[in-house]
Amino acid sequence: MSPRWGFHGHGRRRHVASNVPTLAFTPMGAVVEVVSINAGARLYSRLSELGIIPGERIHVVMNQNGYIVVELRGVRYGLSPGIASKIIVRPVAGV
Amino acid sequence: MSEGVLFILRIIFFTWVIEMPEKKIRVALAGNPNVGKSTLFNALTGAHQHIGNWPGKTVELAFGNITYRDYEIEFIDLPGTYSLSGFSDEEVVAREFIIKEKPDVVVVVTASTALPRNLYLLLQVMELAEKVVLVINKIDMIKKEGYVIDIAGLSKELQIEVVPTNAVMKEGIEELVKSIIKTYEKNIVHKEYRYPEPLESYILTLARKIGKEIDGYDSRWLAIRILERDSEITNLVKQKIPEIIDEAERIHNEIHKTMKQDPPLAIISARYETVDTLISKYVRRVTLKHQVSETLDKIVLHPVLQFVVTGLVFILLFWVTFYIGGFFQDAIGSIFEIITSSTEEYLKSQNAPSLLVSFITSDSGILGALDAVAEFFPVILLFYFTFSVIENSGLLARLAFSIDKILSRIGMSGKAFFPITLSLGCTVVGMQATKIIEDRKFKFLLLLLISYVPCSARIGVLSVVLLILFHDAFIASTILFAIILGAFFLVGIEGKLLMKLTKNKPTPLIIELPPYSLPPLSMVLRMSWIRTKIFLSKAGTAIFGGILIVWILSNIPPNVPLNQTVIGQIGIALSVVFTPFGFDWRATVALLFGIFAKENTLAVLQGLYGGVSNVSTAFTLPQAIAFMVFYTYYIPCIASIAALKKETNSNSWVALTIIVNLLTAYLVAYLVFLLSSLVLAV
Repeated sequence: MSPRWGFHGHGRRRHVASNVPTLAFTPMGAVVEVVSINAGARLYSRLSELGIIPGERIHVVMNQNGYIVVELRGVRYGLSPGIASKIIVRPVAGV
Repeated sequence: MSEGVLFILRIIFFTWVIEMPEKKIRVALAGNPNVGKSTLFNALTGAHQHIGNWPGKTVELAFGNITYRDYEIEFIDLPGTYSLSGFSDEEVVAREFIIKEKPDVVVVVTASTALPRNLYLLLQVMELAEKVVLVINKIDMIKKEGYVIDIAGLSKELQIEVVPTNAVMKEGIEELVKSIIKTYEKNIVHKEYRYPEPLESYILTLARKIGKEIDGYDSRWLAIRILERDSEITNLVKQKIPEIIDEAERIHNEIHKTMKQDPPLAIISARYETVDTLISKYVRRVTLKHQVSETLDKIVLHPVLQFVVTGLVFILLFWVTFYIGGFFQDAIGSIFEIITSSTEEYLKSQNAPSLLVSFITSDSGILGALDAVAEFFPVILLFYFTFSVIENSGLLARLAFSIDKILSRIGMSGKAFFPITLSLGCTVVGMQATKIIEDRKFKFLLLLLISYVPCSARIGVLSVVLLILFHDAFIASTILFAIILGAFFLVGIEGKLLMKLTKNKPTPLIIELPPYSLPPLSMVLRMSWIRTKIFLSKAGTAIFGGILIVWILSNIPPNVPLNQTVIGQIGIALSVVFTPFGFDWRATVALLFGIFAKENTLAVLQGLYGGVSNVSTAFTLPQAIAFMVFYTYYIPCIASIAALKKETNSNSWVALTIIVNLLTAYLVAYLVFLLSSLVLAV
């Protein structure tokens, strides 16, 4: 399965500029690097204490309509689309 | 007294003073969730534990004591947290405990497989506490997962004791206790980590400006938190040193300029860089495999199968709690029946006054109250047992994640699934299940909503009364079904409304999916036993007290019909409220009794109307339906009020919940009354 990238302009999540790849639309099996996080202080802190900060590499284990299972720092997390769409990522070449 | 005797006394006294008292060490256990911290705490302390609350918070702290050689060691199991940032109650409690209670040693518990994340908390704890011991738990997993950890190297680098343990098998426990004593006795103070320049200079500049410690927090730590934009800490410092805000702003701007990074991110990244350096030096991963978890996740998180798994686990939980629990409940009920009837016989044979007989043996007397409390015991214990097996196995997190896909459509979090559905069995059980919700606001809201979901006691009363009223199983069950469905609608609609009113947005879900594991039976048993004991001692008092109050009120003055007693008079006075429905005082009294246990309503109705069949002639059809609707939604029973108090620790929230429940029930019942009157008139 070749990874397909893109942002499908989800109606309720306008704050993310279109065609910026977010975690919510990262295909299963891909490894991505976090570029930035579009979140308030609270959510930002919550994500950062799990290690989800710019520069971190994340392995996408599963993606079911934006419901994402990721693995980083030896731990798996489930993220709902509301959160995954706030995490801007870029693909890591060669993985 | 002669000199010789005094001398001997003195020797005895000093030997006693020197030998007798043991040295006391207080040890706090900190750690991320899912590292096996509670298992370790159980392995350390065995049966000698109790649970307490941190003042003003609903967060639980577990305490346990052991004696080892000359030492009496008290362990405090802090809530599992990912950090000490103070964004959640758990983090605040863990942080405040370390700072205000100043435990002699802080043990940071980590899991061998999650060190790259767990060590972040270690660094934060090292910023707060001097004497720290690092535990690497689940050490058996490193072989399975292909890790090699250089424990001696890590210990040397951090300048702290590092102890590998396998808490499930109770391995490494004594070594840990020895390391704690060594750290305490030899005053082993960990290496102080400095942030990379220029960050460290900025921190020091701000720390110098703060100058002294405030409320037990040292100035360097305060400076770090201000740079991390911790609003609570910033306000704390601002109160003492108002000009700190300008200085903080200046440094924030400078960091932006020189480091091209947001200051909080700069600090967090620096900590992770330290973690990554430690990992790259001392942890090696030889192979890359999470075999068991990966295979199981293919099933449990499968797009279709996940709902099958959720359903099966739910059925298991429901079945064990309410079916097996119900079996024991019935058994306890029959035992009490035998005790009650033989006591009654005995008392009557001794010509005891009838008031005494009623006080001891009636449903709302002492034996009745004891029975009511005892019957909660098997259900609550079995619920806690099954729920903590599901929780500790790693399944619960995955199920909440799966079900979120459905519940988020109606603005609910996946974590609300178990509280809502379990309430169909018992509201009290449903309320206990809100434990897994960290978001305080949402948890409180959910606690208010779930009392609409009819519990098995209410469903039982409803089915009996509906059958009496309609003499038709089909109509009765249709109305019953409509009332239950209505409850879910109420939860959904009122939930949305209240969330809008309180500006409480549903928190998007972030949930750790821990590796699957079989929790040790002894731990699960002990923890559910302690929880059940706490529940029974708290709710038991409320149930027991409530039932006795009802008895007293319905026997003043003694030996008169119920309508002349105090509670009868209260019922008559309150029935004014139901004028729009046209209920008479007897219905009101029945509702009043229902507060103490939902089953009471049926018995009181039968008693007051003189037999079951008369109930159906006393109500018109719209009245009867409205009565049933009101009865279902109006107020949680006394046991759920006690559970509500325990979960929220807030009297005003309990009061608000009762008021909102009453108003909602009244409004819905009146709407149903009007509608059914209209329909039936046509």
